[in-house]
Amino acid sequence: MAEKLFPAQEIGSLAKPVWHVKKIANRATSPHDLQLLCQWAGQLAVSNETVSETETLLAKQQLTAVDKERMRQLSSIFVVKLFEQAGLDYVYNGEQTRVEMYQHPITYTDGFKFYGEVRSFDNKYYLKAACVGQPQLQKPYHTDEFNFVKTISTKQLKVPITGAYTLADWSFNEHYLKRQPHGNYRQASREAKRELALDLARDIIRPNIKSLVEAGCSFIQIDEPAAATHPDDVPLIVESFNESVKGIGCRFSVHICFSDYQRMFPHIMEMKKCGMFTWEFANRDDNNRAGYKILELFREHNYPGQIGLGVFNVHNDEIEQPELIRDRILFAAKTLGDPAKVYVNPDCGLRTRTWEVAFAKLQNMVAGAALARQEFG
Amino acid sequence: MAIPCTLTGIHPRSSELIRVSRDHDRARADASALERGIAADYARLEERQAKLGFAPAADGLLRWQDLFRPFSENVKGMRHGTLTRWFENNTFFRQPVVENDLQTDGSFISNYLLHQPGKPFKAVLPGPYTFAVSAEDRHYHGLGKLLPAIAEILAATCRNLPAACQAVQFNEPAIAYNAARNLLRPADWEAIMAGYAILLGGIKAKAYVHTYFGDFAAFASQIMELPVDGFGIDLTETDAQSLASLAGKEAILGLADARNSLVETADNLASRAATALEKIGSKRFYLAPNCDLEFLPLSIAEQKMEALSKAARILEANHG
Repeated sequence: MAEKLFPAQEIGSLAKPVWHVKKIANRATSPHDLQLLCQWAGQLAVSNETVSETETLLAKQQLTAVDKERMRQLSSIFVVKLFEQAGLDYVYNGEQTRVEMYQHPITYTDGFKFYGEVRSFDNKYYLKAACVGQPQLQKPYHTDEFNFVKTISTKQLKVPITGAYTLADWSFNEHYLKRQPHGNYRQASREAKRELALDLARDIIRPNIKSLVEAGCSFIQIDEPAAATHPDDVPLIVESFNESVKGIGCRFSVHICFSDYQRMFPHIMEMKKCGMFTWEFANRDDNNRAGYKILELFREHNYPGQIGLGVFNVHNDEIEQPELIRDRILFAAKTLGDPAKVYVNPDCGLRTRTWEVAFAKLQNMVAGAALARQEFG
Repeated sequence: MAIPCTLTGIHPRSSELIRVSRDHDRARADASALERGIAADYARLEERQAKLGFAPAADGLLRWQDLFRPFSENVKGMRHGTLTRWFENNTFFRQPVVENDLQTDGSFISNYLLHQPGKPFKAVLPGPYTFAVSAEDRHYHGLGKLLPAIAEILAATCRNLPAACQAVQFNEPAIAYNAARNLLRPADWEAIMAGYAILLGGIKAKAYVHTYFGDFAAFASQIMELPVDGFGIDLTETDAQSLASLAGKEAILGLADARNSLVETADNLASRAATALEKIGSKRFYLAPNCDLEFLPLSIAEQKMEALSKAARILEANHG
């Protein structure tokens, strides 16, 4: 059966509820936190058993490692419900079981060492690790999560995983740089990065994808927010993606954001197994749909796949109206020349927004997609 | 001869300051707690600079969220817009949006500077070209008009620098980045020259243009036309062998890679400095990281500062 036009999908993270964050850090929750828990449980129709189990864990003095793992799962239940109630067609757990998109995979990879926090922007920081030895996978780090999420949702699942290029780009690279011959420092850095990215693709990402597929996963989103950071690296992004998915049959999308997309062309046309590019557009949009004009390049290059269209900004609290979402979708459908190519999603992960704001934005996204569908009868 | 080191940009914050900044954003810490955090980081940074021979001291732009924020928050006709990638880094800045004639008396800068009263210090400001090409221009419609307007607001800012400010360094990564990619046209250089003519008119302190994220050799002949006291060279992007004489100008040698955690040995830094100095012939120079140390966690940044300091001592010994 053909899928409806403009399916709505999540794209990755959602903020962790304050009761989750506090309890994982072994901090006490407040009555207000518990009030919020009950409020969302009611709104999302979370079962009494789940709420009761959550409250029991929150009442414990100290959580064991097993308790913490269960807390993350309980949080996942809330998030899956939130995405479902908002009306999304493809859901996942908002990365509730992961510390963060970079730190999580690196934690399961030998050969890395965390030194401390580095600024992303304003007062947002991330823990950055250095590659100090040959990367080796301890164990596939998304399969347990996927196995759990598939038991709690009846919707289609799309699993976001951080790509090899981004892991390489966001890491300091000591191990491979030390192995380079002395001489031109810039050239040595580039070669060191290439070696790291391809080793990560082959030895870390590919086994994870393989394990997910074996567990029944049929749709994987590879997150490469670092793509287009270095214009000269675009061929390496393509190479590392192809290396990551080599020999594996699955539906793949690639998420890229906050980049100069022009630089991606034509190289990304060589990512033959990528059936969907899921990009941030709304952040750069204006009344003339300037943010979406780049889509012309997909048409010019005869890209046969789909576009995961970022239709709302994830860095502000403005709740975009459904009519604006509709206009963005229709503009994209017209530019691509085929409405069936358009999926809708947030620009990027929603971890910096409150649930209240995220939920309202997602609901309007779904409403906007419905309005757009009306244009096609 | 004492060979100084210098910091060139935004310094990483301590985990304590990161925490209190976050808490302040979430209304869990008040302004005084944030101020105490900034003061503590500044005291630590000043103490380390004094101990390691970084002079004149820089404030690490500890109050700045990005290189343009004090301006986009205070200059009339400008606001800050969308998050934009800072060159080829996993770091973002709020793009300044120019919507009207730019106006300021520059006095706001005193709210952002950190320095000990009366003690000499170095101010680090955005260079007018980098500022102009990083902004979204909705008003002036072209670099030829926007760049002089930005130079005017920077000049007004410089007029508000205290007398203890011995040096002003204008950060121009965009010159290096664009020139290395053949993106700088003759008309851009004309605008740069005109902008610096406006800017330098009001400066009593020594003026430096620090370039990074690109090969200095690609634009050395043009930039040498600027009437400043010295230039910063990114030696992680520039092959020292390709450098030519700086014709007596001072040099900020960007030796330590602020974008990789591998801490260079002092011997390596000293040897690379010696190679560069042989080519540029500068008598007065500073050992430095190639760019802002904010790309590193604080502990690594401090190790790099120590390595630079040791390299300076090696060079001093070798120069007798």
